[in-house]
Amino acid sequence: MNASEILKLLSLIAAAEPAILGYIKSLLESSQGMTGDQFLSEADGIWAQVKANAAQQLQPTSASSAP
Amino acid sequence: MKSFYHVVSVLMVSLLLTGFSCDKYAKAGQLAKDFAATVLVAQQLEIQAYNSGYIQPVSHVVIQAKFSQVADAGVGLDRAINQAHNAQGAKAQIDVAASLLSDLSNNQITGIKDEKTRLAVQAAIVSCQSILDNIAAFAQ
Repeated sequence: MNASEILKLLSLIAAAEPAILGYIKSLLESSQGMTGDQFLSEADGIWAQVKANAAQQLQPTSASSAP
Repeated sequence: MKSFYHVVSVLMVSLLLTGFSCDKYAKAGQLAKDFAATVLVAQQLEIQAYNSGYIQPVSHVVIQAKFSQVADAGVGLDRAINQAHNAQGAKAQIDVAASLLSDLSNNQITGIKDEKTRLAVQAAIVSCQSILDNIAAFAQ
């Protein structure tokens, strides 16, 4: 895969979802000299988001209102 | 098509997981964060598929409950890494998370009737398992 193909793939991904953009951003930031504490702090924040998403989805109204 | 982009993104991140730090604590933390982020993407993929009507409510509830348990295990993993300042003291937490992901992959998502959706969710979970394997290898 050459550079232009990689750029094309990245542009396709970027157009897909804001969440993916945030994910790629966090990946890029992870190479910028963060400490172990900083990484783990961010990880805990992400886990909190996973828990919140799950809690929202597990609400009876949420599960039953979807198709 | 969006599912394809999600899966490509998740797989790309797995392949890019080389770890940039020479500091064992920072690298363990980086892997832990990447693990969390990949689980979040897998969860969002499942939610999006459910909202699009590709996953039955019963399966969706079971899968999301499992994601919640994975998050609990992930927090435990982060704490273990923090306490030991490396990944070597985190084997028990790694095993818990690995068991939950294995159950998701081998049992829970089999309830997804739409084959493409099931494969997409499974690919995302495999990416999570791959990162967890990296943490386990780093803990040796």
